[in-house]
Amino acid sequence: MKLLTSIISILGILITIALTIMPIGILTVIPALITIFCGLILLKLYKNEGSNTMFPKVIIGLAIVGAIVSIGRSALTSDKVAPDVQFEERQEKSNQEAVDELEDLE
Amino acid sequence: MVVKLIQNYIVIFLLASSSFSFSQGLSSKSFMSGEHLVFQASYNMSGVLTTFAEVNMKVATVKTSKNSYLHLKCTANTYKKWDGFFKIRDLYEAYVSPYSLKPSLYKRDNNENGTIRKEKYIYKGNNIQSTYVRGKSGDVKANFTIPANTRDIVSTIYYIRNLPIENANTGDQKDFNVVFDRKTKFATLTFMGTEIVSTILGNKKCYKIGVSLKKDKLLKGKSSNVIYITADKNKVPVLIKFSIPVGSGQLKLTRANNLKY
Repeated sequence: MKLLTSIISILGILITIALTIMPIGILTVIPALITIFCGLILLKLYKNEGSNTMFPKVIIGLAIVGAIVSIGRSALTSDKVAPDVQFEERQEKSNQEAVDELEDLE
Repeated sequence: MVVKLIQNYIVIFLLASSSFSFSQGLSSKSFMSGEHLVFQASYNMSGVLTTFAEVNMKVATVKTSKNSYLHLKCTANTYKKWDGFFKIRDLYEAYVSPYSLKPSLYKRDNNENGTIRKEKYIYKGNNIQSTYVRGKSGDVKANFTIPANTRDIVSTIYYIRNLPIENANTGDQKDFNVVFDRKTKFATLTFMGTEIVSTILGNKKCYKIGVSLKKDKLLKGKSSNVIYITADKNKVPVLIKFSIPVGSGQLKLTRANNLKY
């Protein structure tokens, strides 16, 4: 039970961290909640054993931070395309070349 | 994988938005020079739609010394938040006759996370003079033959938007050919009836069309790849849902300027 919960919580926190780095919005909350749940179970088990509770506390803390960062970023950042002068120039150049190519075709 | 996904998106979007010709012949044009459609692309991750790119479709008039053409341009840009992970700046263009929508020139200029891919088709009857560039390799020129009435992906979209979908019955199917990556793709479109869809243009009655590609891993099964086109004179593609080997997602219309009607 303890080993399995530890493995799930470690996997959960790794996924939470990975998804927090990626800009994929509130999806991070799912592994974060699973991690927190497993962390709470571990915390109870550790307390019952009288062991050091640092590990479950760190897991829970990281999961909460990951979830908060993801939700905050999702709420604060909008879907915008960055201005791209090079791409604009590529389009303009392509259009000019196309006119010449069409002239040649005629 | 992500770059492949983006490429798939473009193909799906272009094919899907190019719904059907259940009967022959062009109806009056459903668009005009100046039309600008903007779509938001989302990918389904564990049931949560994650937005990642914007797709623009523009129509303009281009004049040469002797003729005028319609310039049909489609661009795909990843959102700023994704640019640090994989930056996509894709450009697809077709230059077509404003009367018949027959293409004269097709150009593709993709930059996907630094990987360059360029393609140019010059139409000469059923032959295409193509020039192809990938990565750091030089130009590769090749001529190939296409079946009659085969068009590039961009001109297909606008050609089909003009066909009389309103005459189709539920279950009607239509096969057509699209040339992409110097290969002819055989697509089947199935009219699946009409449905009211909530769009940026309001609640619209839309034609529901299933799209599938024959002999291709992409877009298998008509029911999971569906396009909704407004059942009005503009025939605007407002929502495209699709399922591909690496997942599913959708493209949703977020802005429409200079619609003809």
